[in-house]
Amino acid sequence: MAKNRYGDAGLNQLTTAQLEELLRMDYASQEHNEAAVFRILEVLEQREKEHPSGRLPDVDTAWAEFQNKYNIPEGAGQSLYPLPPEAKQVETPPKKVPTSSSGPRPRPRLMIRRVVAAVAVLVVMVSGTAVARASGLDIFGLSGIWNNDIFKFDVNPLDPTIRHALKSHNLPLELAPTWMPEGFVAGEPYIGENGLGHSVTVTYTNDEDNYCSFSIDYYTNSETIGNIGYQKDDTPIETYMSYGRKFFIFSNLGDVTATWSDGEHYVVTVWGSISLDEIKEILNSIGG
Amino acid sequence: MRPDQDEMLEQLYYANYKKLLLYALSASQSQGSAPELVQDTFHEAVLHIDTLMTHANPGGWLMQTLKYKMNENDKARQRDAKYLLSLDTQLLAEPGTEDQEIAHILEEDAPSPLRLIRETLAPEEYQHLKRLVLDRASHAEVAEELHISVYASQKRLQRIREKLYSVFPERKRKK
Repeated sequence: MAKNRYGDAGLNQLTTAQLEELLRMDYASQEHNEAAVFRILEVLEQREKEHPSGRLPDVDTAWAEFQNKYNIPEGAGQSLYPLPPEAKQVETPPKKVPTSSSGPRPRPRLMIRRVVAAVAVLVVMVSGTAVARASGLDIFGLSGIWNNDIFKFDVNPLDPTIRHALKSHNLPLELAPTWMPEGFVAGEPYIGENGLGHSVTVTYTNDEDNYCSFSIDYYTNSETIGNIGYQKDDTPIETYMSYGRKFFIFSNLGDVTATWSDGEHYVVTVWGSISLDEIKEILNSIGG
Repeated sequence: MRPDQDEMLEQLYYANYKKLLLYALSASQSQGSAPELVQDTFHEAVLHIDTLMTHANPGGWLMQTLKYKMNENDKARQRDAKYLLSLDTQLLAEPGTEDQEIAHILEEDAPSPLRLIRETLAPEEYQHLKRLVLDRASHAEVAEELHISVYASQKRLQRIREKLYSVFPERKRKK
């Protein structure tokens, strides 16, 4: 089973309310993301086992109720809550829809597992020291050397939807990348807000099921930024300068992540199933 | 069902019941219906047991079926609630609308569609709809109150909806 970049250890650091928020997002998205959802549910079920909230009945009791009230002859062929006509997947496993190069290109669907990862960025970022300590890397605690290398590439204008999302949340447009690898198409911006700040996250996908996301986060209290942590593998951290910003690049479970902060209010993170060269080119498109 | 199908159903139930219920409690707009939505999901598994027996991911099948049922229930409840309020009100579109607020409109500010509903439905039908939609009661709760089965409660709701469609045809779900 593939794990997202935050893994089960990351999920364990989230509060029950935060995990439930991820489930609500999954439900709202109407996407198929059973693997990530079941990982979240396993964490919640374990917590219920250790500290019962009282909202879950005993399974033996529920099974007896099922047999006595629902699985009865009168219910043969009946559904209390009928399925929609489009629910044909219930009959047969979903098949991959072939794409045609000559036909209109379908808009890539925003995969919830990426949304989950995107939300995890926010909740991990704003959930304080416990997360930071557990995640193993206090990235903004690292001291770095400033240099003036500047890389200039041709850039495309910022997508109007993304521009609007950033402007309406008072996030600097110049912190958004304006270049993505060929074939990647932006999904709808996700807006995250809580008591510690707010964030805009955009996920791009391509036809090969690769993705790349960026988030721009604003924290009202600079001390929060010092507590941010990320999971990473054993690959050494690389630093990369662009427009005077020092990005830290590292990898985890096959994905690559780059992140920068001004140390006061803003954090920019770019991550995805893309190559090191591609992420560097994205960083180059984050304006000066 | 065959013994092997019974055995598989029971295994699936014990492995997935709490997870599905946690999902429904977390994500459903009608938390009171969450346990019943889960029970009905397993009943759907009984109806499709042949599919499940050969399915590569029965847990995923159950989860997707639950999501479909939750979504349909939320939409149906919203349509029904609009019957009970006003065809023009935007109240339900506003997040955070309190049930007391809805009940107040229902009782005090009855618009003409409500009168039409009351003329269309028998008092017990109106009460049945109100219990399930505004009170967010489950079929099991209503069935216990009326000493009927959950399926009798569902069929009664279905008949009520058909009556309402005859009065408000524009509210019928588009196929």
